[in-house]
Amino acid sequence: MTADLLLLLSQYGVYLIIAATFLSCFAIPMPSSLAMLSGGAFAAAGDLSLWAVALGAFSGAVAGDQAGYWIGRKGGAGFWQQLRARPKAGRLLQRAEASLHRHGLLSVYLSTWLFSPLGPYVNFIAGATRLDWLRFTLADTLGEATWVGVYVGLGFAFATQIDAISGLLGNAVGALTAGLVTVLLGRVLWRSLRKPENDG
Amino acid sequence: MKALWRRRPVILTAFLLSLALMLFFGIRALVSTIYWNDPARANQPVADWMTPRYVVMAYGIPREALGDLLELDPSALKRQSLAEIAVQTGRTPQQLIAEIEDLIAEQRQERPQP
Repeated sequence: MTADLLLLLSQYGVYLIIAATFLSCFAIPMPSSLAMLSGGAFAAAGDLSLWAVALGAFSGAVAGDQAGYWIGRKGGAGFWQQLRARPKAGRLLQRAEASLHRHGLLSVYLSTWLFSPLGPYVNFIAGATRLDWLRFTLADTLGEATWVGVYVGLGFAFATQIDAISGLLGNAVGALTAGLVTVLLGRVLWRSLRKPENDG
Repeated sequence: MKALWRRRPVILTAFLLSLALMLFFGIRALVSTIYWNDPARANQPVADWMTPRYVVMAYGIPREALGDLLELDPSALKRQSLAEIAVQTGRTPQQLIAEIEDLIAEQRQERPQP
């Protein structure tokens, strides 16, 4: 798959990177990290402009996040209310919502790059629960700038080891995200053990 | 554990699943670090997605020598894959890659790297 993506990159250049980062914001499986790493590598070789790669990746990602937020805000509120009304899952979702609003900036910031697999869901929930748009946008643009800086920068610096870097980062982000989910679910389990009477 | 299983079967399952995923990805990250740290793998093989400029950068061969081989003006190299260039110059990608590998070996003999 790496080779196919790189062949497309030599053909479509920055447009491919914009498309990949934009679509990845909708939980569509997109090799966006690989696209950014490869863009950085092509920039190092002189086949693409570093600024065009970074700006393309950044604008694609921010546009995708905004789309996710507004889809949630315009179309997701009812769906979210329905889920919240369910007896068991509802309480969990209410807690998730409260936590997102308490740590809004940090949650959105980290979900764009460190826990990037969660990004699409955070965008949607932020919109559906009407997290303040300005705060969302601020945290989101900062986060995407970090994401793009790290991946395009590493691709540029390690231009001849794209495969190695891409595998390492993919697995590390996977482990971190699964770790976060494990901790959050563990907390829920821990609480329900300590307060059995609340758990009808 | 039994009480949890009775009370929260879905969350407990999800918890165990994400724990397993964390271990899976963590071990893969570790293995890939060890794998790629082997100096024998530092040199990636020439591949058909590479562009002429990428080949020049990755293998430290002179632009002119590669330009001659690819029948391209070395001062006007474009963002074009070797696969595409192979078709243009009437070769198969495998042929072209083999020729570039020969060129790299030749250059290394002429100017051995420290």
